[in-house]
Amino acid sequence: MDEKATVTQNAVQIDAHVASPKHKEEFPESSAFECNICYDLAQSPVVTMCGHLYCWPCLYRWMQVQNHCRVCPVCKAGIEQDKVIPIYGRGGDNTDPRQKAQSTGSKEEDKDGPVPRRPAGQRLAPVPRAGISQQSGSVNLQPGLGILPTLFGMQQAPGQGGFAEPLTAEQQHQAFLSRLLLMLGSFVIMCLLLF
Amino acid sequence: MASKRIQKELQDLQRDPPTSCSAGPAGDDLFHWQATIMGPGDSPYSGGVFFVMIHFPPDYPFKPPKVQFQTKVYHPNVNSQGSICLDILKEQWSPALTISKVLLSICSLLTDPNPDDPLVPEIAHIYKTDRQRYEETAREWTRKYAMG
Repeated sequence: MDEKATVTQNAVQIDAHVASPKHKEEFPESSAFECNICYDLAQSPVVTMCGHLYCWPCLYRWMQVQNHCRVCPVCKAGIEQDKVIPIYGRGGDNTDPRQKAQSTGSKEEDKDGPVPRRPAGQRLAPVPRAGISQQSGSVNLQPGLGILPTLFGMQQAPGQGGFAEPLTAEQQHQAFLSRLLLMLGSFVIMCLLLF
Repeated sequence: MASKRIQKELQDLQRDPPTSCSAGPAGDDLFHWQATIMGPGDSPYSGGVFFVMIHFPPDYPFKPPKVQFQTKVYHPNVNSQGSICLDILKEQWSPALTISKVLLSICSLLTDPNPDDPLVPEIAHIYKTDRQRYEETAREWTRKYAMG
């Protein structure tokens, strides 16, 4: 234990900016919010469709480095710039979150050239979700539900008739948003604990 | 960013050292490491200790580290310069990989050579056609160069 403590202390001395070793022991779960590229707490966080968290500047740079096909560093699933989801944390309430993203991004990566603005959040949720519990699996098969009411109508027929009605795109959205908010909430709490 | 990330890997290695390998900076330069790999028990390299040199590029982890054996190894995928033919050190590199994972991959490469993508075709040929001779030579080289 003693030895471990000295190791940690040395590490902190080497780089005072690396705040995590101490925190990691206190809050081991904080590593869940570390970027998979720089291994630091994600700055301008974005999440890929396959669910892996990165700093936007890190992921952008990785996408520039790869010349043929762009894959997620963790699971090698395909990634695209406009298919990553930004995670908006708290703070700077009166500024546009995208502008905020840009300024945080450039702070991190100044020397490596400009990092473009973090992609904006998408209003449609094309991700298949295991969620919305009881109300049928049919929801999972419908990306772009909001703009395709006919498709929705088709789904209604084989299903539970009137019961399917509450599943409007609006509600799907709300469910998605509440999940996102929950995630954000826990992220904010982590941030509060860490700083 | 590179040095920060390398420091984090170093901390992780110290906190949770992998079995059968170790790694750390060779001197004051954080971008130049030395590692040791114990020859896997179920391979002809068993009992040997192999030294490996690691060079981190300035744009690590976006580019893979350069990893080279310093100890002579008789292996289809390791040449006389110590260069290693391993996909994750080239086109299959991912910034989510760590030195610890790379070393573990080298360990499994020692156990399971890949003769279909050889760096030394002669050894690959012997490995494919006369396994016993390959194992004998590998054991002999291990005794000669990786012990004591």
